[in-house]
Amino acid sequence: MFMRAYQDMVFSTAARLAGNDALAEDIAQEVFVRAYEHFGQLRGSPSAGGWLKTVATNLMLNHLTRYRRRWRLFSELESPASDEDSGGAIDFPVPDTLLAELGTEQRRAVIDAALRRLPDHQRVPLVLYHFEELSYEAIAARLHVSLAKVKTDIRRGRAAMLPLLNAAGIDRAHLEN
Amino acid sequence: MTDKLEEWLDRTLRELPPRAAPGTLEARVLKEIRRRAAQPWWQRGFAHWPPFARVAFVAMGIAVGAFCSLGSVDAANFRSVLPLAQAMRLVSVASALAAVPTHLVSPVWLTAALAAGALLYVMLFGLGAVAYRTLYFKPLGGG
Repeated sequence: MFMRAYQDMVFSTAARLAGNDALAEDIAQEVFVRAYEHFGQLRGSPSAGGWLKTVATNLMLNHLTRYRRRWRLFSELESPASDEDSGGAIDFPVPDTLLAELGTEQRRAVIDAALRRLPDHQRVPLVLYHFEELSYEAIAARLHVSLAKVKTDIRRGRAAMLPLLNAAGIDRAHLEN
Repeated sequence: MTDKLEEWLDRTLRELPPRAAPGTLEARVLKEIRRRAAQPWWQRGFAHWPPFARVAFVAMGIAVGAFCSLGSVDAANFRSVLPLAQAMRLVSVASALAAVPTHLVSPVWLTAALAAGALLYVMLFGLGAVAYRTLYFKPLGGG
């Protein structure tokens, strides 16, 4: 069935951007309702997966954009010099073995939990960059923020993930090895 | 070190399998599809309205705009905008068009079509007035 083939991908896309499973399920539901309306074109189309992913991303970003002022306000309150490099960034060495001992499903759960704990202004550009493979420029355009802010938020998001992974049960020795 | 972190995180995130969607998602989608299918057309988005309703809605909007722009036309000029014979011809054309599908549609649709015909007439009246005023009418003392 069409929906069963794509529901995990659509839900994952929405959940990683939203950091909130309930919201992600709402967005996934809307994506498949729209897919139903275009089912004649999507059925059997090799680009159906891409279409669904794009709609999920757009719906999620549209939802987040409605709260953009609040999001930007918090972002800028937290980091008034956000367009500049952060000298205080966390700088953990990252061995290739980090998370390697965990099973695939455990690794996914730990990383998703860490992503959920990031603030929106770090998680969203981080997910767009690493999962959706958008360039910095494309992310800045989609989020209507400056290129420097996107780079700073992504870098801080990456740095913030490491202690979150550690707090989630990853052996600190792996991080400092 | 930041490059190493980026490289590691990028590789790790791309290798992640997708999360399993909740088991309730499929049922929710089917329920929502059924709910939307049961909605009358006027409760749906404009893109889902029947073509006839969309045309009528746009026509009504244009008519309202046209009438708003006619506020300064005095009665004498207004009468000359659309001669009676021309107006009657428009009404007869609209009536003929409305009568075509009588054996195909329900009385409710027929009534709606007649109402739309009346709206279209009003729209054409307004557009005619605006066109005349814009293209041909020269006010006394005007250039």
